[in-house]
Amino acid sequence: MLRIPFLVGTALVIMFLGGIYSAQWALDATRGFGGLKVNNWVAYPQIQTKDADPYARAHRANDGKILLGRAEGLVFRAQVDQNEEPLAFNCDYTLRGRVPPALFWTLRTVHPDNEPLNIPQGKPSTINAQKVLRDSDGNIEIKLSQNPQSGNWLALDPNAEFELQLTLIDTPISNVSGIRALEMPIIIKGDCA
Amino acid sequence: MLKFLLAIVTGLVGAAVLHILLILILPFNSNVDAWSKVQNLGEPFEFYSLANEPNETDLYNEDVFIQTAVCHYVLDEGPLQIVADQPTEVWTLASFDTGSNEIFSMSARSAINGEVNFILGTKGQLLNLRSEEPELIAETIAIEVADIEGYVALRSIVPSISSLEEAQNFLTNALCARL
Repeated sequence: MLRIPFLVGTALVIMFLGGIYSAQWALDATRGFGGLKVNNWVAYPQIQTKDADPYARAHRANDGKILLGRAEGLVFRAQVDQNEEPLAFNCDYTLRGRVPPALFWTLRTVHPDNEPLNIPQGKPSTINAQKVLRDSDGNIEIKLSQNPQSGNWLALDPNAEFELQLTLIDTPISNVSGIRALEMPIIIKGDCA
Repeated sequence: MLKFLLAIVTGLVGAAVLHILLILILPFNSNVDAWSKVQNLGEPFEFYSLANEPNETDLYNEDVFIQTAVCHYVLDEGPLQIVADQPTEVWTLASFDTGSNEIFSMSARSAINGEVNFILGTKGQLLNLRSEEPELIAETIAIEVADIEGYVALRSIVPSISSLEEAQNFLTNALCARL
């Protein structure tokens, strides 16, 4: 006699738990389908537009940020190093290569869930196009580490996961389709603590 | 056993439907979206410069080198004028509708004389303005919007901390007013 309610109950539990958790997961895990991948970097040139897909729109509404317009710039994020391994705060990394053409850019670490990071006071949490040191060919090399480094150095939060965010301001690439042919710095893993 | 499998499959189908519904409904039912946060900053027709630290408004300059000010508007009584005449290194501007879809964006490089001078209005408002005050509209960049509500973000780029004050001064003195 209890079989029918049990079966209905099973279906309902699967439906609600599955539906809610998968939607929650999708909000955190993806910014939509419109991602453009260059090396380990991903940008979403359409996330602030009407053409954004439903997942991008849901992410945007849940995130509540004042996004950059197309002519303002483009944001790239990296979650993994060049071996596709997730970035770890107890490791050192070296970024090497070129940044795409832009009037200005900034590079910083961000929390995967966008919570504020705690970079110790006095340590560099952001580096930008004017502060960075370049070699004679215009290449850059930036070290990421909890410990002070010579040259360009970006400090890591000693207690929190991070992603890299490269913000390009006024860049011609947000208007061209050849975005895949872009050069982006590679992320090389060093020693881990 | 077969009935139990059927219950599981029914549950999974239901979960998929619920998943799709939640994702589609969320943008229309969020109180943490950018438009809600911008409205919570205060009255319309004023640029609010964002703080550099996290605060109760939940809007702040995550990147200290990119300073942002936002102004929201209602075009029920006429078009909106945006002017900023203080010096700054580089500025950018973007306007969004209430769903935070970009309507228009621009950077200093492509502006007339590099100046911030915009008029934002509905099609009818801009047509009126063109016939009534043609010289005013000739000196500005006119942005046509479909909805009467929305917000504008004005940003100033700070290449080094020494120019932070200049950038903040640029944003605090920016005008966002009914024409």
